[in-house]
Amino acid sequence: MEKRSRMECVLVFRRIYDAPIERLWRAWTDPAELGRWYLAGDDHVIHFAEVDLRVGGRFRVSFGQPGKTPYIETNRYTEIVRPTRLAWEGELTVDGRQVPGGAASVVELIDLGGGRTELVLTNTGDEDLWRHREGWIPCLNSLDRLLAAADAAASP
Amino acid sequence: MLNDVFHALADPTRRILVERLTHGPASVSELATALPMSLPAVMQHLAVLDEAGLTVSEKRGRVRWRRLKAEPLAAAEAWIGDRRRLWNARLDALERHLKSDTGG
Repeated sequence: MEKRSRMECVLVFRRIYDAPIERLWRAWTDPAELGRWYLAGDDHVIHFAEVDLRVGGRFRVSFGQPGKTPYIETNRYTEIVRPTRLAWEGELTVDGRQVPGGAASVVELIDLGGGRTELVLTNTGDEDLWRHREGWIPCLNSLDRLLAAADAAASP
Repeated sequence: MLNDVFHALADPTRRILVERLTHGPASVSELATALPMSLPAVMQHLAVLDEAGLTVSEKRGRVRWRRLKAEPLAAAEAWIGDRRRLWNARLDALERHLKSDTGG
């Protein structure tokens, strides 16, 4: 049989913000700033944010629903290019237990001029990051689109 | 099972087949016409997809059809769904944060 090639699950988010690139950079790298928005749900609060802004340095944010056991996201910077590029790998834990599906993230900031900045966030889950789960997770680029169509096709 | 699913999807021809089947069930000959390969080769690929549980074959009259089964992709879908929710909430929060501040 043919060789099993490496597969990745990639999700890309693009947003344009009405703020200069340096402002965006600060929002992503200043712990006080991160502590005001780096949540993971609309009903979340942020408990703390720590940043050690150097390659290999850690950034850690705790967030969650008020009164519930907090999530702790622990990331390690793999690339820092002020003010255009920030990359890290990380994991999420709740109550000391790892939440499946660790990932690598890259934030790219593009100065659009006129005080506007485009943000491109690439979130990648690859085999290695998946191994702790149930083995290999099959993914395709743009699989989300495919899955939506598959659900529609599978339902009678 | 996930190993089989992964293996099945690692091949570009089989991904084309899966993508085609997302539009609805298709007969083997219909699937074969879109691909630059022989009918037996296409049937081999379909057998791999069947084994992985990604597709099921059913006979309607004298024609054999394939349709997609969504369940094996559920794990991947869960990952995508979780990430999408998380990052959309986060990027929305960033927007609110940038709007709320006065340049500080």
